[in-house]
Amino acid sequence: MNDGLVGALARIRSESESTRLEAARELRENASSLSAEAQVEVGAAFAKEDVPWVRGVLAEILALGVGELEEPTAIAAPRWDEEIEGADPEVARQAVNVSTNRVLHEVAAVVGRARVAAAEDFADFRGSETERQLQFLSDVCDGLRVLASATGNPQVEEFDLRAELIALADRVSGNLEIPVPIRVEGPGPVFMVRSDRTLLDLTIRNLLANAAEATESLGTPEERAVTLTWGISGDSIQISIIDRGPGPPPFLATRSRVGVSTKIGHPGYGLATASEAMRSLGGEVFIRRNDRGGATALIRWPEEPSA
Amino acid sequence: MNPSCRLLLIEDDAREARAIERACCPDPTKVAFEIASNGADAEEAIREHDYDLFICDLALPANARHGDPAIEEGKRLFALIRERSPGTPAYILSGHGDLHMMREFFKLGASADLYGTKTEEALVQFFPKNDLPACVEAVQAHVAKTEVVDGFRLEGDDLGLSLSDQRALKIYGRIQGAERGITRAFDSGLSGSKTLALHLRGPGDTDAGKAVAKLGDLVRVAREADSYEQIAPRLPWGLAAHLLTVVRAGAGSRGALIYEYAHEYTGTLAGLLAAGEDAAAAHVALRLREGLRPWFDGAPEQLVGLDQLRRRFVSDSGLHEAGIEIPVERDIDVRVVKTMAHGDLHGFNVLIKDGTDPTLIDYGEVGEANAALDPVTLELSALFHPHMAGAFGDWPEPTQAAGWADLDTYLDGCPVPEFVCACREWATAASAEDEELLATAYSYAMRQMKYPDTNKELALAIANGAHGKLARD
Repeated sequence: MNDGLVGALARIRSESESTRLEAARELRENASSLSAEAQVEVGAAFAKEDVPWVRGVLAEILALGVGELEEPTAIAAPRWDEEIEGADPEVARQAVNVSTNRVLHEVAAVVGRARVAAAEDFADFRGSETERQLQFLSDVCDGLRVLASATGNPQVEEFDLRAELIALADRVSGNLEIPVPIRVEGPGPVFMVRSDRTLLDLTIRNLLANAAEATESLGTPEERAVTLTWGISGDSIQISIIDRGPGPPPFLATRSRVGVSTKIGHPGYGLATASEAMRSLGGEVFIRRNDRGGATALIRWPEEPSA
Repeated sequence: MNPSCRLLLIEDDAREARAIERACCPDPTKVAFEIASNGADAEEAIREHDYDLFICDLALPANARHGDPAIEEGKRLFALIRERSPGTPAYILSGHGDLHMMREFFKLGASADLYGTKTEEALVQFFPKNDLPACVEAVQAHVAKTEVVDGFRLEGDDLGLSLSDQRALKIYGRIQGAERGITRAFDSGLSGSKTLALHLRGPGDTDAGKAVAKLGDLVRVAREADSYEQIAPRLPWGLAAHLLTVVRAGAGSRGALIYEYAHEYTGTLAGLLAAGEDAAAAHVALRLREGLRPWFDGAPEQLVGLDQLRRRFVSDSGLHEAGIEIPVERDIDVRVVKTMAHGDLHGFNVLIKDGTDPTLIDYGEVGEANAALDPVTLELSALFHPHMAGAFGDWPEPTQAAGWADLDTYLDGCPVPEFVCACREWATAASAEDEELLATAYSYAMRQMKYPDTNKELALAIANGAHGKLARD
């Protein structure tokens, strides 16, 4: 990395807003030349930056420059087929898909009927432990449905990623019990991509939910804020979800067998499913610890040529 | 009390079907519940009957003999439901439900005011089978809200309205904040549609407005509404009733076009003709000619083939299906005036006020046509409209019809000669040449072959007579 960029990295910590903006723009121009360490620096600057337009440029750098992130800086998210040792990944994906669909078809209707019958049979069903356990069974079915979708064949179409992410952020925000501002910052006003909206939706929804959950114990809305950015790096489209929480979840560091350690309701379940969804698109999910705290979830997948 | 909510459940698992029926409809007096267990039975039910709600599984066998369920069968039925009953809510209840599939269903589903509450309700909902309680809740809510709609009182003439037609009027009445509606008959139209006057009464029996309601098959209602939107600025001032709103959902396969009720309409032109009020009918024709003049004046001429003109009325395959041999058309070219036309100007689409003052309704066929179309349709529909059958006794004899172009012969014994003359003068004046008049009569008469309940002998006589003259000329 040349001296100019080293200087720019120093200046993004300047107290002068205009100096920081100028430095950030210089770094953005050379995002592809930034080392992994430099990107950590940018991430740290982003985490403490309060001026929206400087934050916007830094967010773009983060979205553009994640191509060089590798372990140990970034940890690949768990996958469902990790416990099938030596299996062909494509065969494993199909096996997960077929078996999940089959189980779902057999079980879902029974769960639905049991829920209705229990409500009829027991006068005090509402709020009972029976209701909670049946609800949990139903949630398992929902989880299997998402997994079946994640391992299915992608359905690619052309759409505006920016508009999709804005709408998705609104939907996720609307469903949170504790308000977490989700800032959507990236190139626009239109950012057309060819991909599978459903798979992207479920991936980002899971990662956003994890990020929001990680920050909900923080005090102010500003501290809880999660940033969603996107961009292109080389032949890949990349999306970053950056939070100021405690960092990557501990299970990522300790996990061995996803099928054993990851349960429905546990964040790792959603992460594994998100990972499967991106793998169906030929992409990946990484989680990394930010230098000044918090975690960044990175997803990237190869850009498809326009139709 | 007869159940008012008609529900079709498409589910191949008998145990599941029983559970759904018991949970959704604890009171069988409120819901007419039907179950179809395979694709063929479901398709027959969807095509033959009207429903207020569909619940559809996705993995279904194609028919009673082929037991292997396939998701494609459920998707096919869903598409059929949306095509035939786009205003009826459809709930997908499936054990599968890949998220891609769910997104597709949501994309298809619009929303509409189903109960006249000025609130949009989703027309398509997807429930995973494990979430049967949510589906049950949605069904029960729909049944309850439908019951409230049916509580709106309709009084007045006994029009023999179906439950769906009544519901379309009730939904409109509720949107207007009325508590009851009084209906008065005009006449029935060609395509199974019904046109009537609706007088709404609000709380304390206050006047809540009047409207002309045209009830019809939802697909046709939607087409007419879309057509109106395109041509509204070009409608002749003072002659056209303006469309106020459209009931597109909540009434099964039926819908309603609600037109303004600017005057006290006393009937239709068809009614005048059936009553033999020739002078009045002729005056109406004259007023229509004057009113539509802006469409005709200065319109350009164009040379078209007879086959081209006839195909606007009836296709080759339509005639083949009716067993009619198509005469030689391709060597006959006709110079026509190219203009805007109402396209379906029969006597039931002309409301009458103040004795002879016409107002046009039904704009489903408005568009470019040749200038003789409207006056020829006006004249000949008095013979061929199914609800006019027998109105003129034995007139005209087929031999007279064959000489349709020769008015002296044709009018012998005619109970409405002034009306026929008024239409014919209009058609002659509007046409580029006599051949346009003949070609239009030929085409209109050929069109009658595709309808089951028209006088084919008379129609063929007119068609052959006109064609003979065209071929000779």
